[in-house]
Amino acid sequence: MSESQQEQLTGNASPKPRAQAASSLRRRFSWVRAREQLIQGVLFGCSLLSIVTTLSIIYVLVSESLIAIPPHTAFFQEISFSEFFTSTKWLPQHDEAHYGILPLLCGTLLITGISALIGLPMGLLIAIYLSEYASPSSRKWVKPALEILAGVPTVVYGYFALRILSPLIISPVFHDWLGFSVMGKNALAGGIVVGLMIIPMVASLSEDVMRSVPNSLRESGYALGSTKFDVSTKIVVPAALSGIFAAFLLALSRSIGETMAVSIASAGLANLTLNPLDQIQTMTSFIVDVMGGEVVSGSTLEKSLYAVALVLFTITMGMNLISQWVLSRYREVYQ
Amino acid sequence: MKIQGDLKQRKTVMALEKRFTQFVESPTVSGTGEATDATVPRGLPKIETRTMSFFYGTKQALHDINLQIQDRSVTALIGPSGCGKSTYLRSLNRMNDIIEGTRVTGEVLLDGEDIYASEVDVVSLRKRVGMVFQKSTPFPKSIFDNIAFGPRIAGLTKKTELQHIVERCLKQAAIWNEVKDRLKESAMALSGGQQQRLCIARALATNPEVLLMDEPASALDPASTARIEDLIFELKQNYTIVIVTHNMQQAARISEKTAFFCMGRLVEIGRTKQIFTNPIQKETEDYITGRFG
Amino acid sequence: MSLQGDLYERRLIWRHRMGQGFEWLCRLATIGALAFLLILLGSILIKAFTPGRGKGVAAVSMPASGPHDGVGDDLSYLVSNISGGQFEEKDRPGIKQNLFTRTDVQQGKIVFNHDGRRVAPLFDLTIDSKFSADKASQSWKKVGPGREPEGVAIPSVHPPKPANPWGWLTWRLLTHGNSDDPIDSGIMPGLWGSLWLVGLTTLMAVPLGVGAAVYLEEYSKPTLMTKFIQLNISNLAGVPSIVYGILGFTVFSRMFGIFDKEKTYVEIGGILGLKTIEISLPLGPVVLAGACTLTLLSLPVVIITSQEALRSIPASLRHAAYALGASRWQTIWHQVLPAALPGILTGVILSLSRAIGEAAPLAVIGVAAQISWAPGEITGVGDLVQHPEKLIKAPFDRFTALPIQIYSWVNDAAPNFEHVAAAGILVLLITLLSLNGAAIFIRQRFQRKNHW
Ligand SMILES: Nc1ncnc2c1ncn2[C@@H]1O[C@H](COP(=O)(O)OP(=O)(O)OP(=O)(O)O)[C@@H](O)[C@H]1O
Ligand SMILES: [Mg+2]
Repeated sequence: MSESQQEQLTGNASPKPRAQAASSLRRRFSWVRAREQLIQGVLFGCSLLSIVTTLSIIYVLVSESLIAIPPHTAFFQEISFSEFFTSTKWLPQHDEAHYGILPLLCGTLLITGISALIGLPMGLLIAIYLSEYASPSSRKWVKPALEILAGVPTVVYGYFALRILSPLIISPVFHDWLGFSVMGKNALAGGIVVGLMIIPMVASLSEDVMRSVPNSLRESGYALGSTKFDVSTKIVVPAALSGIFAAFLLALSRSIGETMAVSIASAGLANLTLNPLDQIQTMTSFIVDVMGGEVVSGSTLEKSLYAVALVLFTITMGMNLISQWVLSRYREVYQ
Repeated sequence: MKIQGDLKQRKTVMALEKRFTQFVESPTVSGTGEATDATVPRGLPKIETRTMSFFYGTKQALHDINLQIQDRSVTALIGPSGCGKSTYLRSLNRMNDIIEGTRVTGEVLLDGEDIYASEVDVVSLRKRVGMVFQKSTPFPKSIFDNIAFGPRIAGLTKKTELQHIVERCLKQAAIWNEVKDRLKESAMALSGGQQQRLCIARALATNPEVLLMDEPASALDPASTARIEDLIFELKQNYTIVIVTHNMQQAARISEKTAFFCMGRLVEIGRTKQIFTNPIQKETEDYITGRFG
Repeated sequence: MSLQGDLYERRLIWRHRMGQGFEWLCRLATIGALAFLLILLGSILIKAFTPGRGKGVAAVSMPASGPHDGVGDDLSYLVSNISGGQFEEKDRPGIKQNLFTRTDVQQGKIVFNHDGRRVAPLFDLTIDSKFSADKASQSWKKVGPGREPEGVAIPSVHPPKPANPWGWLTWRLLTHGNSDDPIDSGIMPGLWGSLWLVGLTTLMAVPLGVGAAVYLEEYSKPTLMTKFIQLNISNLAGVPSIVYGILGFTVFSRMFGIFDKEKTYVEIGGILGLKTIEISLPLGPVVLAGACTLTLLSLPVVIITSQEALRSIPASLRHAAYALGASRWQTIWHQVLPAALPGILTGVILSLSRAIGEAAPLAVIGVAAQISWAPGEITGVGDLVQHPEKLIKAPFDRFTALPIQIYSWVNDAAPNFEHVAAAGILVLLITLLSLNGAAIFIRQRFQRKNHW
């Protein structure tokens, strides 16, 4: 503790008898201690803010979707769970409104799946390159470039998907050449850019865990007659596997929560489809699309936003928690 | 990088090496290298370094080392800390290649062949010259997978053959009885001494001819140390062993020859008995009697 | 035993090949990602500096010779269903002219007024009956320059002058508000809105975030509570930004609907000797609501990076200060924080520049692209000197932000908006870059002071 430390220090420094010095010091320092206490309290308040944030997110989402204060009704008091989770139609703005979240989940799944196919392997390969193969000088170039890639705002990715990727690459390949019908906004374009977007995250998180694999393991591998390839893929990657898994989970949670790029590049009708050339609606893009227009306060449509957000929050929070847990286990092993 | 550069040359070298290995191996090889007896003339050193110097960047760590290491013997390297024992040991299987900016001059011959020649494949070199480190480094895998690692990467996939190798190596490393019932469990769960013997077993699994050991027992209790010493005594029937140790008694107990290093130079090499009882150099005597520095 | 000999050697060659292949694969992935970055930035530059499709009056001419040359009577054209603009008489601009003769065109009396939707117009054309062999009027659907029917000369319409031939990153873009017309569209309100957002967010996020980090690193003991807070912070860092948007919408913009019944006003400013200003509640999508939302969004990252910066300060520094009799807070304030400042700044800039680029939470709290004024309607320095109360009014004013304006332009299918969007993206990227540059500069200034 600081007080006891202080007393000790000041006490030792004082040439006077100990008790007397301590008492005189204490009186003179009392307001200082009060200030210290106050500051500590304020700082504690700052760190409590994160808990307040979490609690208010949960309160806001739950109070609009699950249980409301009596005069109001919550979303699930108007729409049954079974309709929400089993109906295959999501038509909240229709005269005959349907609230079945399956099409939204399906759209999210499609985007996440495509992005995983691109982002996870590329990110992992880049991480292996950075941690095992790259010379310090090339690492010095690659890492900032990846940071720039991570710092590009998501609307820019969306713009690229809608104005460059879709008309100049996807449409010529899949429509003109292979003869599929391609929508102007399609899940493929959105999935690809989200996949590219998560590359820096996968790469830097996986690189961190791979670099924390002790060098002695690599040396033992070489001493057994391994090539660099054997060491990278049969020692380092397996040893870092749980950390890589955590990085993958975090990245997937990011692509589930990605909004703007998907909304620009892919979002339209909430189709229940797994066709990547079709337009889809994800949970996130539904929320921005609806909020972009006018929503009647207190309407079922407005409450449905909270219900969708609750589902989104639960899924991503779950994935984050799992990956935090895995990462903490991993750190225990190597640090 | 060396590994990259010599792919073109490798084919020709492969042919050469093939001839060599055929020469070395008899058809009935059981993997312990007995055949070498017949073909390599007695007296020819297994490893020889000629005016070898070693540099970390611009810093010279070894100066003109001339040393011969006999086949199937234990050679101990002793010397004060920082004198270059590990550096010397690691340059015998080109482990130092991994460190950026290192450089070797002079010759290091393994069976008369320069291992630093540009056409030598480090991977097959390291398979022939195994290494055990000071700190035990089990891979975070099962015991079985740890031992089977070397054979597997070398291309062995048959389950029965692997089982055979694992059993043989664990027995050779005198740890079979302790782990035979839990081969599928993680190697990280073993005790320090067991882990070190596991690492020795792992090094044996690739069938090396030479075993380099860098203070293999320095982190162990006396009982485990004794077991490892026994083990080394057993192994020298079939392997050439070079061991770095700070423990004089250990060197005296297990080695036939002892080399004393100081400040990056080889001060003296001779029969262990002679080095410990009647050293020629003053420095050696000072070090052994504890009057060093 | 295949551990030695021929088989092993052959396998070894193959293993080296495979290893090299794998290294190249890794390298390729890296090069691919970097190439994508270049393509991304390059395509935006190209789009921003491509001349747009122009509009306005362009000349119409006849080919020098055609199939009906030498026919005595003049050929007359009847056009209808024109897309891409209209034919007009040169002397009567703005009035549609659907029937004209070849001579009219040859004499330059007819011009074409492009509406900017197509480079070359398309129209249905009918030619008088007396020019065809069977004396029946001939007509064609959807003809135009480049799609001439056979056996007839049609008036060829010249393309309009391209709009913004020097690109779209113009002074006009920086000084104008949003507009239906891409050529008039500007990003000024969004730019100022974003700058206000950054300022307010920094003011709130930095003290709160650094405070929390100091508590967690310097004061807290590893109790269950601190562990929980720590876990909670790392989880908040992974919550999708749109969820923060929903939170901000409910708490800061709609204020739980408490004030929905009648508009409530709060007056502030009188005390400072400034004109009083009225603030209506609920706040709605105003700068302050946006800044509060972004603060919550960026706090976790600010806390985590500040913690890392604090952790890297050697304990000896603290002990030295304690030994001089400094209290805990004095040690932190005078020794630890200044030493950790460069690291903290890096984290703050990193998370703030991510926050500026975020469109989703702002869109959810209701920030609209159509706002055409800067927050507080501040028009310049002179204006501020005359009306200093506008500075207080600005945080409570409705606003728009760079990513929101870009989002609305990206989604606008009308021609040329893709160029405006690209130019807007350039403004956003330049803003981000200059903030980062400023941060690097400050960091280096501070770093020079600390030596150990
Ligand atoms: N990676 C390296 N880079 C630069 N210098 C090194 C490196 N490794 C070792 N050295 C230097 O080389 C010299 C010899 O080191 P080495 O590790 O071989 O000593 P050692 O005899 O094994 O000592 P110890 O008994 O303490 O293990 C030392 O002076 C050391 O500082
Ligand atoms: Mg050593």
